[in-house]
Amino acid sequence: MLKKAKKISDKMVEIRRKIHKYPELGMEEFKTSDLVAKYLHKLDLEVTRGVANTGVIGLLKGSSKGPTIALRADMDALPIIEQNKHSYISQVKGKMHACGHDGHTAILLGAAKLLSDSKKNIKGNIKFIFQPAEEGPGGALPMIKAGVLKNPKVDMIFGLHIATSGESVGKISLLSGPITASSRIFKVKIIGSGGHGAHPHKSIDSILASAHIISSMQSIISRELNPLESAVVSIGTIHGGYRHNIIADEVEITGTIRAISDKTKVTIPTKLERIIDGVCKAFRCDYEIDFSRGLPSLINDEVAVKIVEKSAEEIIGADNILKMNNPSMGGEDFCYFSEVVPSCLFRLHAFNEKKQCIYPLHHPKFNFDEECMPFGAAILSNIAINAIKYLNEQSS
Amino acid sequence: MTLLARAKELQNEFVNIRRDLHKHPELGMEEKRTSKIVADYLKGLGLEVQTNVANTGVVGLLRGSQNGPTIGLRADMDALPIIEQNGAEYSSIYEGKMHACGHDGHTAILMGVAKLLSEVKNDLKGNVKFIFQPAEEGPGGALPMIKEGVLDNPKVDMMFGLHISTKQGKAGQIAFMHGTISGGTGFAKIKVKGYGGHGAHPHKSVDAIMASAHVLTALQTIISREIDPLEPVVITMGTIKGGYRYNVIADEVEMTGTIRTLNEQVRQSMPERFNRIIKGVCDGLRCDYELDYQQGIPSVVNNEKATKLVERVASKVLGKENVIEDKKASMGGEDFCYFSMEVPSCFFDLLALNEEKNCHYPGHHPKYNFDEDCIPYGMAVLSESVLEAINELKK
Repeated sequence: MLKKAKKISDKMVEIRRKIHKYPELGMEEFKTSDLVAKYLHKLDLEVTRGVANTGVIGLLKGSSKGPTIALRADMDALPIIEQNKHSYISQVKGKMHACGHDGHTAILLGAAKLLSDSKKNIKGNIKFIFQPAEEGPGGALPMIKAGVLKNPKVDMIFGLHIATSGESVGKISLLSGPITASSRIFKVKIIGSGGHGAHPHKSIDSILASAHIISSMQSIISRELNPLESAVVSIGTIHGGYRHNIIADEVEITGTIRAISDKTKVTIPTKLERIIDGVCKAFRCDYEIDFSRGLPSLINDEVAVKIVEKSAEEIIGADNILKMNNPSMGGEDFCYFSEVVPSCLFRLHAFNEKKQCIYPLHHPKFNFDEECMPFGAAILSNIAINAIKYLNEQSS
Repeated sequence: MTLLARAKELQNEFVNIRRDLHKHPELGMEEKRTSKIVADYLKGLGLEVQTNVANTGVVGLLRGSQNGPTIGLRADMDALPIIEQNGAEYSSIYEGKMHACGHDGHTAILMGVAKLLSEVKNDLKGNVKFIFQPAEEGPGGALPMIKEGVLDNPKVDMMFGLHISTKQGKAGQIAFMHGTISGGTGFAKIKVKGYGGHGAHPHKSVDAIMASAHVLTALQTIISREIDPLEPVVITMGTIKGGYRYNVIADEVEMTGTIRTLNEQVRQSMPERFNRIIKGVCDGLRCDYELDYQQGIPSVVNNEKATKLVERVASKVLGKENVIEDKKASMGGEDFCYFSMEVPSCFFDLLALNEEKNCHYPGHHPKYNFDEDCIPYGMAVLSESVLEAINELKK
């Protein structure tokens, strides 16, 4: 399978680079879903478009009726200014594929090709799910609501995420149980009262107050939680003020909370608001705080994990299957799939120092070693075949 | 007739001049219409007029009946980029611009002084230079005019200037102060640079927003811990922006701010303090930084002799109870400071607060206005100060 995958490697690279050059944000993946649909049509799959706005589904019917396995890739980019200098950098100002979704899409199209070539041997169905807006506002849940897991009913679902955490191409990482943190988004407005920058006693400086809030909230992690409990509170953006010599009357900050255990997910917002309330009172400010529903934890199913292990072993050998030491604090909206169907999301490694593929996800210079793509396509294809075999054996 | 009585006779003329200027505000270095009105008026009085000094500045020279000391008087002409909200019938007709700091009044008053003094020029035993400068609010008009020789030919021996104020008192009063009366300024632009990454993996990135928070709080300790508590200092960071998205760790944050002090040595020491603190905090938190620190303008320092003269003159013209001695300086900037550095001078406040007439907003407020009844008092105090100064300096 790997050999076959390497034969289409160039095509996958070509597709990936095309998508990388024209990144589209969540729910705006028009060109990308066009490309995906066209390719799936060529492979003779049953294609459904416009699922959750820009989502695309390709259905491969095997040689006989049987279980249905789904494979999922995300298509959206991020509002980040690309700082790479290679030949296929983003041509769209302010947008970038900085999380490998271009690779996920190219890999899944590769898997579609490999599996449609083997469809005589497949005693079931394979659904290729290309979802929008993984980075936000979310594509998995809308697609589930639009019935993507039905007709035919999906029995198991798999996906991968490219990683540049330090391991090179030819390796994957795996873990049973919770593999991502649950998350919450928060937005805070700190409200002072404006005035001339030379007369601080006549106004209330919201920028200084927010500085104290930002540094105080670090103590939630460092001082209030059990050190063995993993949690993160990060501020992503801050904006406030009109001019260098005018005291800002309002500052807006947005951020994210991550926690592995549910208890922590519920209590951290309360701690955060308590701190903001106290610091604002101390600095004579008002505030507005808004928490929005985030993502639950992604929980890998044990059986699904075993299937991935076996399938990957057949391609890269047991030595190259690493165990994740810890869940990631990142969120993945694949978690909604994992809530309803036994699933497994695994890491596909693509770190490469020589090729400057050393930056973390969401970094403006993020890139991944494209040689990982045939491995991804081969492993996903093998997983689909093995999963169908397994489910057929179970039912007989 | 006293100069004050004559000024009151002429009040309407100069109120109308002020209102016309108010309706047509022009920003710094764009005061074309205003300076033409000034130049034409001064020429009409028979003064020797120079135009296009420092772009749009105007200088008028009134020679008296004999050679003698030269007294300089200064008014600023520029407006601000503020949207006027005070609903007066002479409100600005230029969108987005407004005379929100009384400079229209300063200009009208100085034109009035030119009129008063040309009426008595036979009694003038010296010269009077009327300096109408551009761009007080920025980028500065005093220094460029001085560089173009406005204090020479003839050499200016003493200078006076006033600023209309709605802070206290009422029309018919002035406030003055000895020594350092306005803030010396600085401007700082700070960039804090981290290393971007995913908001859920803080250990893989370096959070510039969190570091800037620490920079902001640490900078305040300059005031609370490093400088003599008897020295007034202000550090205001007025803007902050950084970051792309709620779940992406910001790799860069930019902040801009203003620094005010009354002590020139403290003002000069600020760049080193800023740099040391920002460097230390950034080093501690693994960030890089860029600091762009620009010194602004120094303080206005009033000359003792000139200030005592104004106090004396104003007490005679307005009555002692209408002359207020301020004990506290303003931290605001005033580019008259450059004149005060070259020539013994006194810069004082002409009071014009009036709640009933809705003239109670501070300078730079979109609803700012001042009680126009102050105009004849400003004209009289300045004119009498000129006459007294010429007498004094001749001795």
